[in-house]
Amino acid sequence: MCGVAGIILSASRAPDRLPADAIARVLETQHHRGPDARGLWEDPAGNAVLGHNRLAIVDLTDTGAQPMHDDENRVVIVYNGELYNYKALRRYLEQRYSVRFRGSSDTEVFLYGIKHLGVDRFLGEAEGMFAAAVFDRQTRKLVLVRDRAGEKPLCYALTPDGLMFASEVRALVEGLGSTPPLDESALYLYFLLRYVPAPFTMLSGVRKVPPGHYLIWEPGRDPQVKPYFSWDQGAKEIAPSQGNFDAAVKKVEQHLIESLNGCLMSDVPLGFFLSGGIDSSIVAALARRHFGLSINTYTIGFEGDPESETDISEQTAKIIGSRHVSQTLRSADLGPLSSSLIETMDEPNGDRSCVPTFLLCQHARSEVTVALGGDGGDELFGGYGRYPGLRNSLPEGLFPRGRDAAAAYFQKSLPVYGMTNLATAGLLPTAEASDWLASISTSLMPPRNAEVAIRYFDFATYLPGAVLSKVDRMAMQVSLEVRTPFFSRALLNWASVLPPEFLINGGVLKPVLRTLAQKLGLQHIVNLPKKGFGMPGAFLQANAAELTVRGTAALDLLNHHPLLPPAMTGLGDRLRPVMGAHQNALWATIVLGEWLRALPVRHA
Amino acid sequence: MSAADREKTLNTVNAVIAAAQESVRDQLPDNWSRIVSERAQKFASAAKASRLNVFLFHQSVSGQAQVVNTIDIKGLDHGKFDYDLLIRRNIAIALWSNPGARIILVTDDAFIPQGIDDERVSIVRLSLVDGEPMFERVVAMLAYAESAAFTAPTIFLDSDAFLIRHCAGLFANEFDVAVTYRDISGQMPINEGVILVNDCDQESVRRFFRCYLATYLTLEQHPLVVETYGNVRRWRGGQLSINAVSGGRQRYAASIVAANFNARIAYLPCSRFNYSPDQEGEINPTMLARALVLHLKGNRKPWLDRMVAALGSFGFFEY
Repeated sequence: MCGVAGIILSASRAPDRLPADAIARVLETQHHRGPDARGLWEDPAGNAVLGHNRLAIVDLTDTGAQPMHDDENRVVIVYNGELYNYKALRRYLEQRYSVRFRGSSDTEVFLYGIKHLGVDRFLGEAEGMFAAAVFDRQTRKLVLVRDRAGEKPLCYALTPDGLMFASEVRALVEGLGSTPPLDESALYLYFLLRYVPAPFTMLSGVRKVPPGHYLIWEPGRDPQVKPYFSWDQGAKEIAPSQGNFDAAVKKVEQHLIESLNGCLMSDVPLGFFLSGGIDSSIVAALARRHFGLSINTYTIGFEGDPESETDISEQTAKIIGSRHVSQTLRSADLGPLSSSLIETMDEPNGDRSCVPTFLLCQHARSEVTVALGGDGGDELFGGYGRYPGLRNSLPEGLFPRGRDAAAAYFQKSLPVYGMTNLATAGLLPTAEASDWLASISTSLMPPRNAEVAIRYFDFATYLPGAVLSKVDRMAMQVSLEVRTPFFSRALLNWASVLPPEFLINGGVLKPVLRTLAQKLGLQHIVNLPKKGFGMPGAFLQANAAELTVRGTAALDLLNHHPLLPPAMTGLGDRLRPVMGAHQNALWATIVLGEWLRALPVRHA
Repeated sequence: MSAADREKTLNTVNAVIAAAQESVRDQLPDNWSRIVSERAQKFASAAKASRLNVFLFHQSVSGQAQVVNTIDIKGLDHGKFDYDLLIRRNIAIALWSNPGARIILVTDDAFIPQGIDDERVSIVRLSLVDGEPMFERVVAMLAYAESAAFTAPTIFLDSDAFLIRHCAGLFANEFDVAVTYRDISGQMPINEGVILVNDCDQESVRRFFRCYLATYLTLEQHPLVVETYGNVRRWRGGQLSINAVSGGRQRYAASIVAANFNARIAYLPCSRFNYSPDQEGEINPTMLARALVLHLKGNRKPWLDRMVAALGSFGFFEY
């Protein structure tokens, strides 16, 4: 995987006065994203600087180096990601537009695809995970694009000099030269969600390009952010018959195989995460069975953890015939590790599985550069334990407003502080946060089937905000690329036509994937309940006192930190009476406090 | 349709929407402001308290003007359909699903609907220019929004779009105007057959419809629009205008967006809010339970009986 960075200037400068040093600082800060090479391009016309950190995965030669130009030297790209269908798109571009490719990288296909097909059409065809910046030197137009699900990060800030962008927020701050204050809307949403959703970042004035969107910017104009994909796109559900269920299982298998065909592209060693769960097991089993690959699978567990899935994953590995490498870790090591990891987080993420995810990535990275997992399976196919019963707990009559249904969902199903406690602490949603809540809640507006609609809601919020950002940042800490086959267009489209009966069947979650697992011979996991991948409960219990101390320290910091907006003065004291409402609130506060403590505060 | 034809249709539709976007205007010419104002007076009789207003428009169209044959709609003959029946059932279904609603049927002098005898129905008759149904509809919608009859949240429906669910709760959400979108290659993304407006900020709604009409008046002169669709006052102009004012040819995501003219526009997927089945067999109780509006667009109108039968399982029956 890679890192991208750049600035497009509002006004041209002499080439020797370009802010190349600022972009070099960005690249240095996000070096972990691409330690294999670093590229910097300074526009001879004095309009832009683009930079790139490279983790070489496909086309390891110099023809894959970035920033990359087209043959007319007009369009320049920096790109982070994998375009899984780049070979098919390449053939099309060769035949239709007589493009002569210099190398074999997907970056070059992305560049010419945008150039010849236009942004909307190309993104409509693109399969993969990506974040890219494409700059047209002639029109001085910049396009920033981000993949459908939000696997790859991309943030930007408008400055007096122009528009600066980067893969990571903290790296961007290095380029800006001063640390912006904390964003009031982001803080509110963080306490509500335990992550910062797009387009916000924790820092004021720094924005994320939302998943499935692109941004267009020309000097002198406001940025335009437009969607090119919405999973809740108007698909019509199929009828819930047994015949359709069998067809659904078959279709899902077929689409996963097609998607895997793209995800398996790599010129470097590739492995598979293997938990005891359904999704990653299916991915590994399909890769072994349909592609005949000798595969390596990786799992971790913790000493004495009754929730550990190492035994199950070993059994799965035996059935599918993978070379399995399991690592058992000491829970006692989690405390110090979590502190050091939080300090390096790009943005605070209060998901308690960040640390185990990091350890799993570290474990896999000892042997491979790319790992496949099963992220997305729960959102697409209804796999979360919090989904059944939502029709009763979020009835339309009681929650006609989508945002009220969303608030109730956050409070009951994904509790952190909750809106009520935040109000008690004197924290109310800002106008911007309020607009965001209303906007993302359209999936929950009546008429709705909450158990179907919540998947669209989670896909747009929880998945990119908590899950995918965690996977990307934790994996990038050790320069590992993580892929999932669950976000192909075909699979997304197919998942959206499934009726509720195929998502939750009498309390059985994601029956389509369970049936597929059974078909693949994974009978031992078919009836297992879903388990999370958080820190072991034993660790949390044994370290309750230490966590309380860390939480208290975080609250103290939140009372007086210089980056706090004025409206948040005394924030720590306001939160103190309600922090004990839920363990998630404590952990989210610890993460925010320790992240903030490590954030360099620079003034312009 | 071959792949080449599909691509041609797609490119043409995209080009014509882009042309329409060039025509977006937010100022209505003075003469049209006067006309709208005069027509707004005609709605006085419909100014009654209500929890929900359902706006239906029907204009009799004669002869060849009934046929739609454009690049994106082939061989649709409105003369084949019984609009009297469609409207009668539309009203009956809307009043069954939303008993507190008021129906405002806007039509010309020629249309004499049969079997509509309910105090919740107000018929507003306007002098409409023959052969310009789509244009007259937009004028009428603005006239309504500027009239005393705009007393409640309102849903504007095509005569073949049936409000099958209770929808008062929907208007508790924070939007001024809601449009429905789909992602079907070669079709305009926003469908004008279902438009919802809230009543908490009526001026925003009026600004939206003024922009809608002002854009219509401009785009009808655009050479590409004329070349593609001919007289857009007859067909396609309303659809084109709402696509232009709602955001153009981009893809849409379920969201609420503050638009240029200070209205908050909600983008809602057609699958739930403006459901149009591909096959008659799709019309069954399970499907109906998930949609707000069932839209029997184009040649789907003969599926009306099946829809009525399916609604029977929810307790609907015709008197």
